[in-house]
Amino acid sequence: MDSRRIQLTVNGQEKQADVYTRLTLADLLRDEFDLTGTHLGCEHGFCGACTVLLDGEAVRSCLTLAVQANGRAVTTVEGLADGNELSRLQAAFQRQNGLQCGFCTPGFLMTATAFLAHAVNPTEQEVRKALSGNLCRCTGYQGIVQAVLEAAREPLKREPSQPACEGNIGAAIDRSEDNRLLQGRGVYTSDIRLPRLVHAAVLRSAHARARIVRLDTAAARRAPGVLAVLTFADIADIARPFPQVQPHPALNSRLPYPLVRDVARYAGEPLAIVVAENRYRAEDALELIKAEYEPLPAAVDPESALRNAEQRVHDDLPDNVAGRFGQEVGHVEQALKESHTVIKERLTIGRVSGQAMETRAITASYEAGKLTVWLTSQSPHMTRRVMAGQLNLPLEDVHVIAPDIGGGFGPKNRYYPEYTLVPLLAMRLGRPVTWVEDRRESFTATYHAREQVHEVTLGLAEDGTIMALRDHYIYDQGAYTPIGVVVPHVTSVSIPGPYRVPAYEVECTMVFTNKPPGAPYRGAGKPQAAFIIERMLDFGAQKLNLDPVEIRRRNLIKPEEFPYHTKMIDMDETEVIYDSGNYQACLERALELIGYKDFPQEQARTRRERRRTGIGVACYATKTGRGPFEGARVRVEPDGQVFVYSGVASQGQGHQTTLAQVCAEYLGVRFSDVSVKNGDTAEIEKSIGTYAARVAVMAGNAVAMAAGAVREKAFQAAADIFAVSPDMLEIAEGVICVSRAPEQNITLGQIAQHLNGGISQTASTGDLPNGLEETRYYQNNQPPYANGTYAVVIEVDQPTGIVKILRHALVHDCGVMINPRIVEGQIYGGVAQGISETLLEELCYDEAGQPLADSYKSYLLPNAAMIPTLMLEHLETPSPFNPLGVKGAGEGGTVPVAAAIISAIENALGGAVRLRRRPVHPVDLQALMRASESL
Amino acid sequence: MKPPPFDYYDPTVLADALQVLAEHGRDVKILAGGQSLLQLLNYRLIRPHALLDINRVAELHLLEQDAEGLKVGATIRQSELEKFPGLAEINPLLAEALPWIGHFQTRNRGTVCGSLAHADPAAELPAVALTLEAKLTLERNGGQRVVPSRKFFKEALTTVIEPDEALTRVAFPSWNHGDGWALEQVARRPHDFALVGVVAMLTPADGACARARITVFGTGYPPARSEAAESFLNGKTWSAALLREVVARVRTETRARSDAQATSEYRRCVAGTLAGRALVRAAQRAGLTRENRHG
Repeated sequence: MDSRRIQLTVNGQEKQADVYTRLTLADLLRDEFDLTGTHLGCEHGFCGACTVLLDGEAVRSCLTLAVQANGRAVTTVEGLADGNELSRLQAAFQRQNGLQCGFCTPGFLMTATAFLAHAVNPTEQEVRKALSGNLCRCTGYQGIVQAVLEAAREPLKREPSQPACEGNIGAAIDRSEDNRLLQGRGVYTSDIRLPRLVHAAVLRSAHARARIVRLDTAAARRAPGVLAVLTFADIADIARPFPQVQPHPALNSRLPYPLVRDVARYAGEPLAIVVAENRYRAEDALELIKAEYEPLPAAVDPESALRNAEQRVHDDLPDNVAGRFGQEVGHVEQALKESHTVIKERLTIGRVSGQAMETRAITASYEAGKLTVWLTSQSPHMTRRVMAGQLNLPLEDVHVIAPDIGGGFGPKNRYYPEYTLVPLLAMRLGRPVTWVEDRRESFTATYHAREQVHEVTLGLAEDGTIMALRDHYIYDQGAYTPIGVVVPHVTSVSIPGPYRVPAYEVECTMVFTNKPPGAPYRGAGKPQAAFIIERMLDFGAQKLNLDPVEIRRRNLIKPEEFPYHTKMIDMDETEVIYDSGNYQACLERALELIGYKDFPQEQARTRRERRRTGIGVACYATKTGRGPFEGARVRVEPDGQVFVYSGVASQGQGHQTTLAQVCAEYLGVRFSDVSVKNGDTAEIEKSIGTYAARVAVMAGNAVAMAAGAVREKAFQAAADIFAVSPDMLEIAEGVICVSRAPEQNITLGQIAQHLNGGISQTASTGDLPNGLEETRYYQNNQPPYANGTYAVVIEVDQPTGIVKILRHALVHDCGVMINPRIVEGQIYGGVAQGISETLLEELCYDEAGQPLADSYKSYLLPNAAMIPTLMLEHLETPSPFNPLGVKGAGEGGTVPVAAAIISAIENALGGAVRLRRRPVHPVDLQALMRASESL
Repeated sequence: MKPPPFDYYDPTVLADALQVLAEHGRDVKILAGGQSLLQLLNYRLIRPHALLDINRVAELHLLEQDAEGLKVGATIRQSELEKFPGLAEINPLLAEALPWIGHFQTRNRGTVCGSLAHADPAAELPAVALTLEAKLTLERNGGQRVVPSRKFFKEALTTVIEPDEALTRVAFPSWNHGDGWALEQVARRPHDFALVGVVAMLTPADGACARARITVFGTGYPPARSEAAESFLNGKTWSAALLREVVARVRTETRARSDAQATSEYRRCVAGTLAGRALVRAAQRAGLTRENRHG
């Protein structure tokens, strides 16, 4: 193969390398020079994560060959800071919450650095345009845009950073994660470098449904640099289907083997895996595998799959039903008869892909009978259990580490075939193996979300009071049931949302199709539910000639009704009970922020300008903090350093900050003395994981308990030392003293040393165990419900069907906020994802079951120019259901957005069209408008 | 998503580059900016035997304005042209169009000629070249020919460039001061690929539209001039009724394909709308109208 010697300057240092001519500049930086701050998000020039400066100009290093950098100067994110001193721009990113997971951050920093080199006093619009070639999935761009604007202004005299002791619960402090991530020092799975590491690539089914007649791997096995090729035949001795997570009596559980055994059930299902000395050669070898298929009729549309036994996803299920369940509260038939107005609608929700900016990845190493795995997992403990079972290894021989993760949003919470195959290859080859999903694979190899079809009936009294709601819906499960009935079940108990629904009947049919499995994605069934109830209320308001806000006001659960018993039964057989909230207050404040009262005049004015603007409002209540437990271990070292260990992995939520804040408060130490180590199965025995907006609630309370227990233990030890009773002691900034004699004091570090047996001159420690450390598991099956209202003003360009967000507001209540800035970041990102899945995202399939998107050219994510600044306010109604009073904040932003935007579009068009589907594609909207007689 | 292997040539003189083409012809892809080529390679949608990197060929780094117009050599980046001093006076349509191309990071690598040679139906530069009636110079070992833009684009992603030829430069004719111009496009996301777009140019004479040029792009076909609409407009005095008729003619004569992003019907209808919007702006700039808005 052609190779060249090149010389270049990287971050001011002369470098040379012998490179293959096909090596990209990105891989040169990452693999030859170990500058892993340059990230590969898409490898086709759309996401911008790999942006570097070439002779001072921003370029995509994935679309530039290494040989083209010969003789030139490259600057990467590692070259921005001066030593450990962040650049102005980097510091602004930290202050403005311009990052969460940090994966896209280096690309934004390089883009903005190039932009700011020429821009003079840029406007917000100019900044948004300059950033529009970089994609972020976490922040909704709000903090990034503010950071660039801040960095562009004249340097202000910096306020001294907050005193560290102000890091308790409620403090809007800087995140401890940021300094590292801003300098490109994050360590994501694809950044793990191990000696003798080799690279895997996966061959995937080209057909949605096909019998695999033959896989000829001979040429691939002989290809240069190839170490191994596995097909099902090579793993038949150990292969077993994945275990069912969350089994349920209503479920026809069907789970895949790690490689297709006989019939491929979706385009993209893994057929074979190749390991070679580098990824380039592994991909070369994939092309040499000859796959012979016998294509079979594919089930693509879930409704026709129910009727058409030809399109059979699993041979033994002619109707393709994956599960069926439902429930009834009250007497729906009777209540509908008594209703003044009954509305029937059919509403559909399209399929989307989670699309974290970091794709999935795994690196596995097997040494001395122990398997160590780095993995993009939201739940390393769950992954470890399944992995050990798949590989026939004792649990204690499997160590799973979730390092920095570039966004999760749900899809990274599942167990995937590569998580068996890559460790297996590491074991068989005796050398570490890594696999990094590429962006094309991410559209079929990572599970999808959302697709549902609802047939809804709403009964209303004359004044708009909800009398009854009936919803029979179909959930497109895809080919397998990785997480059972969870998503459609969440939908089934979330449709009533924040409203009183006295009679409610719901029935869900889960249908197998030849598409990738459906699984939770931000909101996990709740955005669909909100879309249903909010659309139906809009239709009801139209029919009764009520203001759409008024019908909502009349049905919202009132503050005095909490705890509110819905009488619905959740998946764990407990009743769905809303803990607390002030739903009206959120609604009224959101209306003020958006200018609801005066909007009719505004709309009349824009209409005179021949523009069509509209307003929409949606309310939501969303279950958070799913149980049953989460744990934390808190340990004080003799030097006074406090460590918090928890199993929950982070994908950008800032847990290392928020859990440290909880610990600082409950232990009585400075925030800066607390370090959080999370997502590592070696550090704590049990954990559930990060999903369902549960970490603040479950892990937060576990940290509070463990920190409280450590404090109690320290007080006991100090009481012995000073010969006083523990209730005569107090603690501040890690120093315990006798309340009435502060000169009698001891640090937690000294107590730790003492309890470790390091101090001999003090009193007996009684039967206290060694070490200043406690582990606690917080258990709770009574989840808290966050709530809020989203309001939006949009403009429809009638001839083109393009919808533009003009302004939007969200008032949100997630109980006590541990760190308001982090909460806000969650909301901004959630709202952006909501906008995205309303106006841009849909993963469509053709009749043969082929996906119509495999790139960011064909599957659009929003950019900074599309998401205006969100007006955001909070209410804090503490949850009485947990000691911290917190409710989860991760999903709320996503839940109400589609309903409100779609309502606003209808409003802009004066009710001339009815929208029954999300997303709203400009082509469809334009066709509806053209067909309407009143437009 | 890594490129397949290829041989790599990076000559420093044009004759050597043309020699590579003469010897390897069909198996060679020319690498200039690489912003489309590397995408195709990373997806392994193409498998050229060799890449011919022309970036070191000094003769191709040509950017000059003379009496005949603006000459842009094969290695001139889109950003170089964008920053060319006085571009807004030299050729205001190019100045308006260039910022629409990709993002500034891709314009720092992507070349003007590369975009023309790649001939993506949704790309702005081919439509601009067609509107400006640019001349494209194709060179082969021992010969060259100059092709007018209307004969250059054959199909989506296909031009008249023969396997042994290279597009070495494009010449945009001198701007006729007084002409009005506009580019309008619609994308699902701001600053993105056009679902459909229109470039318009109007030459005024005695208060009437002496000559109109209307190019529709983003249809799935190569960019195309709306000749029936143009000839209808030529010589007429500007009016709202005139514009309505032009919009209708653009809709009728536009050919468009359906794909995952838009239907053919949508593209034809919106092409008319955008033509109307572009013509209004062009007419304002040409001093033909003071009206602000049309449907």
